[in-house]
Amino acid sequence: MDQEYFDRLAQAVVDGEADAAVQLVNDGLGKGVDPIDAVERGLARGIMKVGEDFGAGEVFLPELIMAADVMKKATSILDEKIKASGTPRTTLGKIVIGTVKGDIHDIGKSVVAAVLQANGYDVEDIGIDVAVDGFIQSVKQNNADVLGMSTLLTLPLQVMGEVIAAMKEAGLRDRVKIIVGGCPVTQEFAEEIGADAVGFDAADAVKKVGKLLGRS
Amino acid sequence: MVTFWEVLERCGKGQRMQESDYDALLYKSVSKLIEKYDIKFDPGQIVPDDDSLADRAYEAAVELFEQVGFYCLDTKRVVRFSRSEIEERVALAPDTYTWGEGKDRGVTYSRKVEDLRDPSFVASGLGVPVPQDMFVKVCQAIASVPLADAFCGVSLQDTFRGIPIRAGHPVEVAAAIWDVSKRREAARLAGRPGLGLYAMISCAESTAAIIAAAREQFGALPADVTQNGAIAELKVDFARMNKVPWQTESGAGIAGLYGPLMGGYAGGPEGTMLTQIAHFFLGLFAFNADYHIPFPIDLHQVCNSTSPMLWLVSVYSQALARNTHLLNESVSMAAAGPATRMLFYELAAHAVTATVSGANLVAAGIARDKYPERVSTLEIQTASEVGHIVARMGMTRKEANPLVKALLSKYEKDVPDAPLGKKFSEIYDMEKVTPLPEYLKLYESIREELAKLGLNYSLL
Repeated sequence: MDQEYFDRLAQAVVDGEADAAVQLVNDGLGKGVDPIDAVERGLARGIMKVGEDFGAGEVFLPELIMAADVMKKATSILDEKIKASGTPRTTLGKIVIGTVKGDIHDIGKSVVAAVLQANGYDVEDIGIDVAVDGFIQSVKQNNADVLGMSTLLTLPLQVMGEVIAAMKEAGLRDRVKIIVGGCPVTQEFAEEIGADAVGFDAADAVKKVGKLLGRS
Repeated sequence: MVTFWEVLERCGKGQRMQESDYDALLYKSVSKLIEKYDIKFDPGQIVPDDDSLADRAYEAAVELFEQVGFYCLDTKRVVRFSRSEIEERVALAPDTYTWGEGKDRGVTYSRKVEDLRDPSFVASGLGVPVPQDMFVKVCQAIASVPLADAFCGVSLQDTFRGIPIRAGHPVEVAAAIWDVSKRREAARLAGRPGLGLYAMISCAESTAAIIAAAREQFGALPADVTQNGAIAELKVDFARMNKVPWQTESGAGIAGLYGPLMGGYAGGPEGTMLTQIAHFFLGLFAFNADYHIPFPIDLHQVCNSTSPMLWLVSVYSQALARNTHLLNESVSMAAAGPATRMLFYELAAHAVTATVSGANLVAAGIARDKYPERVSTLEIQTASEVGHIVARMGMTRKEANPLVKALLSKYEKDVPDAPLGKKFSEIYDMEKVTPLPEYLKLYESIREELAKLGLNYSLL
């Protein structure tokens, strides 16, 4: 398949066109496109472009989320083919992310999730108002490399410390890196509760996750 | 008029929708409306003097709220209102609110664009975490800001009696009671025992804790205010609405709190500006709000002192001031920390912009409102002085625009890496609760600089 095909795939992500992306993926697979090429030369380029534009303030959250959604839908088709081929697609890492119990604000967490995805991470967004057990279960189920926790409010901060304590009790802490973020979260607080890093904004979170996983 | 009870019924009957679909609907609607009403941010006109733009913005915001209403997270339903219902609710909203009592009484009222009357002013450090042992002194310093019509103080840091404060935990109730009593004590120590609290309790999220603490025996005055916050964008839940019956039947003041995120679900400055206005309507219907506390924030910079954000503040304020009598208490959110020249410039720019555009003033969120003890008073005082001077000079929007741009030129490039500044204890004499000489000197030099830019300090 020629470069134009991969460009169109990338553009479908940029434009937030899920139907077009799925159609292109299916057409490509029908014509023998390597599914790993479809992800890396097409979809990933698109999502990375949107991530860069979002960071520069040139596109807004809805476009970023739409692009991430297109990426998810298209890669789910490709992942099945990749699995069947026996050559697993490499991602930069698996990340579980959520807003902690007592807080129902989702924007900050959603932005970080979308930007991480735009930068090549496999992200499981487990939503808002997530209790300690919810984080632990999801980390186990997804075999996560990194756990991300967010809150906009002061009072739910304590939950972050409780999750970290529960991670230790569950024997997960040593193999899972933890990053925290949100308006009231400071470096001092992150250190106090034993988190590995604090993401002060989405770009910073990507940088810190990369560092935690030895990618940068 | 659509009552709160009718609103609750609609929460159970409105169109059912997934939250992500509501977010998409909002973005689609604002995108169409800013095109239909020809609304465009102009970096050359931070304080536009175009009445038609303000009126188009208001019309577009009414149409937006007709289309998208607000979203109830508990029932996953869209709660909509007709144009006539919106107009009626706006017409019947209060146009004044009185804080406090006795000689410390302060009044906020509906202002007009280029209004010659002083803006009401709230001195606030809400959101800045401060440990229990410093709490009273910091609140006292804030209550001492001379032109304050009401105050708020700071937020209690994460523990009380050494126990972490958590929503729904018994210590939350104890901390809330302590919080109210200490704020009142702080007002007394500032020599203003009757100064009103524009946000009564800083450390409580749950309604139970707020109701438990909001009693006269703990220091709350009858007109002290509790806040009901919407969730960005245009969302509410019952945990926030469930204060309303108590607030309404007890006569407690109700403030609607709205912080739309520029760059978020409403898009850029234009769409976020429309969404900011629509939040005022949400506050009337969902919260029975007496007055409104808008604090729009740039999603990336976590402040509202940049050019697009000040434009947004100006246009939404003009739109409301020209078309309603709603009480608009505009909050400045600064990037820089205490005792930096940048913080003074940021708050002055907001004060000029908001005052000439018809808003009242609340100052301030400092150092992006997150770092412990990063709170200060002379910058807040400067914002109050600038607001009063601008109104008393009769400054027009046309005159304000170059002044705001001159201020922006001093700090805007530094917003991404704004200085954190100093902690309160580094700029205050903690025994006397007075600013240290070096900090006072900085304040004086800023006054001189602002005077050179055209502010007539003799009008204070």
